[in-house]
Amino acid sequence: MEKAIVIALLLALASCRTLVILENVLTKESHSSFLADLATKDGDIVYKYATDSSLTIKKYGESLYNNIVILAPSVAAFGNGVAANDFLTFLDDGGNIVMSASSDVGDPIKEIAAEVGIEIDDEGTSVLDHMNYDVSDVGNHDLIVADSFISASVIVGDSPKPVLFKGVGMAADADNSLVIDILRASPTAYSHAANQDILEYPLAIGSNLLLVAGMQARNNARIVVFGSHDMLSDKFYNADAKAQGSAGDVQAAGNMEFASNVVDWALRRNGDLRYSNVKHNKVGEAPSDAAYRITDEVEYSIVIEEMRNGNWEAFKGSDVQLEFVRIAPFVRAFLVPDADGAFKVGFKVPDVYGVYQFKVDYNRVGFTHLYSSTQVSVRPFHHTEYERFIPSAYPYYASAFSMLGGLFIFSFVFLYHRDPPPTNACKSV
Amino acid sequence: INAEYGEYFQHYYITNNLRMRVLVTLCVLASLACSLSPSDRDKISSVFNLPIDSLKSAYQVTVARSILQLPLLESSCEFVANNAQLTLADLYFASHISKIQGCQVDIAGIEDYLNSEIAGEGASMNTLFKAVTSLSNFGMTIDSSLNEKIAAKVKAEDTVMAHSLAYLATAVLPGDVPKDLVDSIEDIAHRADTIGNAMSFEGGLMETSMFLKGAAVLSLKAGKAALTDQMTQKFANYIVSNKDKSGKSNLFYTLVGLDALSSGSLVPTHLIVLDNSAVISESQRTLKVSLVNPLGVTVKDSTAKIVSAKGAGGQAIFTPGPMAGGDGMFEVSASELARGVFSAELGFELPSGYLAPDNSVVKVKCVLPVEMKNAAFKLIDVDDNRILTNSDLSGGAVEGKADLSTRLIFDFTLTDGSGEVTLHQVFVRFTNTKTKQNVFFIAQADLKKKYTIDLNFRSAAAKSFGSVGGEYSVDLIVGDATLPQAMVVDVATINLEVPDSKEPAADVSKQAKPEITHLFKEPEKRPPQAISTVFTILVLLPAVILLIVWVKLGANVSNLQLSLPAIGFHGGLLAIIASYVNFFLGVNMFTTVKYLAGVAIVTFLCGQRLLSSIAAAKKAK
Repeated sequence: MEKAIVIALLLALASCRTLVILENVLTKESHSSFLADLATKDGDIVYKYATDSSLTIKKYGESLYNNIVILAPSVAAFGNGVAANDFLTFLDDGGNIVMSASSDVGDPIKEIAAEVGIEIDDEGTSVLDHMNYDVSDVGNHDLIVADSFISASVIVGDSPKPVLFKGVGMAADADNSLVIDILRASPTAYSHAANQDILEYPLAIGSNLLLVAGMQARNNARIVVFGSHDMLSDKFYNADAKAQGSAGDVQAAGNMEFASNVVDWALRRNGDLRYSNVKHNKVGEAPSDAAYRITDEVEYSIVIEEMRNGNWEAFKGSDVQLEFVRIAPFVRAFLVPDADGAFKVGFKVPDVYGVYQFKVDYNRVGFTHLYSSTQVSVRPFHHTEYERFIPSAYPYYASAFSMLGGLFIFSFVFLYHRDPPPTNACKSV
Repeated sequence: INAEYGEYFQHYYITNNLRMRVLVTLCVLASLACSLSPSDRDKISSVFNLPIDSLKSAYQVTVARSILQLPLLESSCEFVANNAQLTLADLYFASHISKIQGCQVDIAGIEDYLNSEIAGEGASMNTLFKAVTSLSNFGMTIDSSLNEKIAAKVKAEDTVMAHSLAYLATAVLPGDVPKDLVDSIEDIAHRADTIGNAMSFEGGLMETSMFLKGAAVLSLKAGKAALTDQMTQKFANYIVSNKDKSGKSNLFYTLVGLDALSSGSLVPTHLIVLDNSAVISESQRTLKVSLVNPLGVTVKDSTAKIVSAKGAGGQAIFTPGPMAGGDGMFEVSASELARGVFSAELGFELPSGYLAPDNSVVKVKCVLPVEMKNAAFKLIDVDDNRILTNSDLSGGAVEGKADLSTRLIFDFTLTDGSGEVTLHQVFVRFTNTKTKQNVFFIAQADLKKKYTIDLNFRSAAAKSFGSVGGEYSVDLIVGDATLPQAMVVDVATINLEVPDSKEPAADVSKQAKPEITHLFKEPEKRPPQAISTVFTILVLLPAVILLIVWVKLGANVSNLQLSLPAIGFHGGLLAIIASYVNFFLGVNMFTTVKYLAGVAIVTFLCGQRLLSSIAAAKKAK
């Protein structure tokens, strides 16, 4: 019995907890498919209304949740004094946030987004596109069909279908390199209030205008902002989409798959990387701690795993690189994965000795930052290891040995030579 | 709970006299569609179809199809005949199917079984409800004294669902309706949560739909409206907002709720626009509307007329008068076209029993193309006021050159049939042909509606173009909600010369880096083998010559006397030489030194003795 309780407690601690902050009761109805999908990703969901006076995200210095989904675009202030800063602290603690905005966006949402480098346009504005609006839009052309997805299948899935979007535009802070443009507007789109003349340059125009933006912080915490609250609704999930003027038939909007994939990514169910089992050795030998000699052939292997839909699986990336670094990299080579996720490469140690590192520094859009470094020393040749019997040096060898031979023979001749007895011819003098 | 209570629903084919007014105004404010559109009906219809795999699904399919007035499926009857058992749940589903489709349920002792369920001591409200409605559906007699039992049970359970079930059960009992029960409808309605324009119970769609159905049938029997108009509107808004949900059960209860709203003797109607025809254009001049009840069924025997159709500028595109068509489907053609958004107010004449939509204004958008006129595209050298390029664009896009002392002035007007107009999106886009980077400028209209772009490259080059020079193609983008199609006009190609033009550096931090292969030190070039062979022979020659000369001169070793020192000395010398050779062949220095140490001592001692003996011998001579 006790054992069962302990196990249950451990499971509860290990499992993710997701806080869903809803704008009001209707959100649960209008976004039921989104929430149902969320429930399949994480069994432990806590629902709260944005203005709930018991809203708390941190207790006794610990985050109560792993993930927060905020479906309350127009909330003016969160309940219980929870402020934008609390959400940023939550991010700093490694939590993930998904939130939606709309043309009726409230200050707390704008504030959170602004702090992570995503500027949401003013209240009352919406993304307009007179070229790519949906055929069902008979009004302001703010129901747009968007398909400029980021080319990162880990975030948006393989070949995402065009999605319907109706909401507010965003722009990335140019100085923030961590912002990820998940879905951009088309080159003809702009962000402005539909019923006001454009007198000033809008927040962003064309491809600079973001519809869905994300950010992966340096601690790998993720946040995604959907510019459209409606794009996550049941209505849009089940809607058809066809851009006015585009060829082809009306087809089902890809909102559901898109949102599901992006949320999978945001909640770190996709795109997490980890490594293990770093090994390096001389070709044909077992790994050892001894230093490598210059020009040795070495092999390096590292096992990399990827989180896919909540499970660790062998990573299949083909662009992982190994660097052999002494201040600057001397060798950089692509690692080749096998079926078990073991990435291997062999190379020849440079002919410069010193202290080196095997470094794998894999930083790709949508993936967590993978960094592994292993230090090894590289020594020069021992004097017995140099080349011998060089044909061009034969004259030197020959002269040295003839010298030695000569010395040996000379020692006999010098010591034991006896002059022959003098002949008569000489004697006459 | 959803599945549990899903079984308790009872469908009635009687109308109620609730005054259910779902005001279009409200719906417009809440931006909710207020009834099912034809496409909604198609979508929902496709859900209630084969396969039928349980009595519950047979029941839902049958009831939903009868609400949607679709042909009923024979398989439902077959499924009942093959699968229904003598249990309350089965009988409840079977009784509905039997009543709607008229099929026989051949199970013995139904009546006794149901009556015993009712008589049971612990019979809950839903047992009572199921048994009573089953009896009623099968056309069997029901004990009229059940009213009190139901009233007591409701008081005991006191949930929204218990009340709803009590309303439904009481409505089929013979005799008068207890006044308390009818009065409780409004009280129960107050338990619902109101959010914005919608009102629902905590239990969600199913509970709300069941309540509406119960309230409708009971108040019909009592002959007295029980809910206020406002409540009904809010409940209706909530029900309709569920029409896009997925899942059979959700859609089933949406239909049940809409049916409860649609089956009154005074049915509220809604105006819907068909085929996106609220956008009038030259090729599509007809506005098609439909008058429907909440379920999306058109209202027969109705007529419609245009009361007025005014735009912001007071223009009209429809002439007031009757609309063509009837039976709830109407259309009218635009008498004249003018670009803009118009409010068309419609009036209806309806058969008795229908309430006209309270708001019968349709927003109609008339789209007309515009043209660019009076274009003047100039590139001017600011330093000497020289015009470099001047074109009215009649010959298509122009080509030009610009540098920091160039100023671009581009003005034009946009006209439709009525004259100059201003539009929402009038942007000039510069696209770098190499990097595909876009730079946008907003064209501003003056009071005479003349658009101008005035661009001084000296300031713009750094600020807008980021000091990236090169070839740019210039387009004019004109877009507006009142255009049939946005316009992109290719205006010019400009070669922008910027001193110290910077190529925008692509961000490569998240890409694979170029491979590096270490460049090993090239081995020094060595002479060919032949040369070294020759030199080897050459260096060996002196030794050979020495030997030859010695032989010629008669060198000898006649003084050699074998003695221990001699052997020791020469043997040691040989060993020293051998250890040098050994060193060369692979032994390291320390081993060599070790050997040498031993050999050297012997050689030294022997050498000393040998040499002194030789010297002594020479002296003796």
